[in-house]
Amino acid sequence: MTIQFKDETFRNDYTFKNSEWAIKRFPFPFHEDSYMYSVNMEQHKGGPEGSIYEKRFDVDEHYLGEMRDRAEVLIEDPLRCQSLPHMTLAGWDLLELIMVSKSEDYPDLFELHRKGNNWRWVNKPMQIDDSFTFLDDATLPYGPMEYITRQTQGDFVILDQRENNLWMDAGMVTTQADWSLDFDIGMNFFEWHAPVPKAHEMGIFTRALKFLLNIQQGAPARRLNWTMTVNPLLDTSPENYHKWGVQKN
Amino acid sequence: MSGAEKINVKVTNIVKLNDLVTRFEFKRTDGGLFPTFSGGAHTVIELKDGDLTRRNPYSLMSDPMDQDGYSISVRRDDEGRGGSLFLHNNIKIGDDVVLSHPVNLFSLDLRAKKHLMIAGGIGITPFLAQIKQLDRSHGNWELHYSVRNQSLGTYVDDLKSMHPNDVNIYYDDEKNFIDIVNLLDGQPLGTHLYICGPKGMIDWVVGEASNLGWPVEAIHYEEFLAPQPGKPFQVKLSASDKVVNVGESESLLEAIEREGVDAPYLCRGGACGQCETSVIEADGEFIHRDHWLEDEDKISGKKNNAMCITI
Repeated sequence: MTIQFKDETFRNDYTFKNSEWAIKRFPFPFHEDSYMYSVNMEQHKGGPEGSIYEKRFDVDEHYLGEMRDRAEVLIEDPLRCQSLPHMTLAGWDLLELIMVSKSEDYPDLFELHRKGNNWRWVNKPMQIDDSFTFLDDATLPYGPMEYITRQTQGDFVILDQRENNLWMDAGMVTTQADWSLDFDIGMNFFEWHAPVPKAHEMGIFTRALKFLLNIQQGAPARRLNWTMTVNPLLDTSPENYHKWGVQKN
Repeated sequence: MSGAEKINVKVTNIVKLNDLVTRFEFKRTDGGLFPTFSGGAHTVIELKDGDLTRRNPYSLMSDPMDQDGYSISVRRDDEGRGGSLFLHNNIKIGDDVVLSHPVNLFSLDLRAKKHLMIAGGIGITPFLAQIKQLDRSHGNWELHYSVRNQSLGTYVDDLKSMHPNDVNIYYDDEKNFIDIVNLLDGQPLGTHLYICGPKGMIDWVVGEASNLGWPVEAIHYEEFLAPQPGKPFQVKLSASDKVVNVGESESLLEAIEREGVDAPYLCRGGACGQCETSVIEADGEFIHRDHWLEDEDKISGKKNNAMCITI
């Protein structure tokens, strides 16, 4: 099926709306009458056809609207996207992962042509057609992580694995549930999770870290997370709390 | 193994480098691209030796960016349990074998201002991949490589001709040894130290570095630990009630794999903790040869064993 990309806003007039198709595939997270966190990880190895789990990186009808909103957030606040100097190689790794996955999973929308390190990436919905040299930052308009995450739905954090811990050393975070990349950058797994109520005592983070440290190349995992807001506002950041916090009244 | 799918490959080239070391090169049988990896990663090669399935880890020495082929260099160990011997004696060009996805337990710390590499013997292999990776990004590295003698100097000529200023070779037989104290003392701030070689060498270098005040976060090492043989014993697995007889030269992990248990593992060398398992009750004495357990756990005898080196 061809995705009908919508022209919609996630702020001000909030023209965002889900189609029937989008509603049907929405991963409603509440299976019981009450909810508590759990370490609900599973292998990311596809899913039912048409579901949000089927493709490696899902693309839906909100793709263009979300990318436009991301670009606006970044104009107002460039610190939502940061990469510590040693993480550039990881950024290229992410770029390769997303480009290969999306060009294979959505051949009608994305193309990747590679000849050695000479790459050409075509993103039809966003009308992008860029040729560049893999691993050469100078040949892209942004750093590799920023470049590809400006074209991929969802927030991204790249974690450096050192000293049996994970460190938040790079990220593109524009649709967060009230946490700040600029505040957390450089922190480790336990540090950045400090504000989450109850979970530390429940041992959730120790178990989650052990699992994450042993994820192997070629065996990705996934975990469904969720957040609730009053309006379909994507930018629910601490940086802009003065603008959206009042909506909770 | 409960990890990623294995990669089916064909042996495309076998190069005998010297009396002890042979390089094996592989291509995918499906013609696809190999996953890229980072220098220091290893692969676990799976070999069918009659009824026995051998699983041996070897550092990937090829260029991490080369997705057309993987290479490993294997040192023949005549005293070992036969894995390297099997490779040297039985594997031919054109043979089909199976490789695991790369696993990296010895990666570069890319925050380092300088990477100081100390290699002993076959411990050179992970550095070969790391050097290729660092050269791409014009990284600052320096190698000190200790070999027994000129004829057993694996890759010495290649390294010296490609990197005459950054490679230093030491010949044991000529009583040429790394002056480790002087080498470590006075390295610029931000230097990270990497050691790969025999246990004695690692212990010595890590000890000197600690004495000189090097922070533990800046010291990285990988030991190619192979399980040493022990007496046969019997094990009962509490979850499945299976009773498994572990032979003299197989590890507990290998024995239960033989019985069809797909247990998790990563390094197969007692270093990573992935195959750690609880001991509910035991009759006999444990001699701990792993790097994973804390000393108090080893003494208590209660907690866990790394199955890959429980022999």
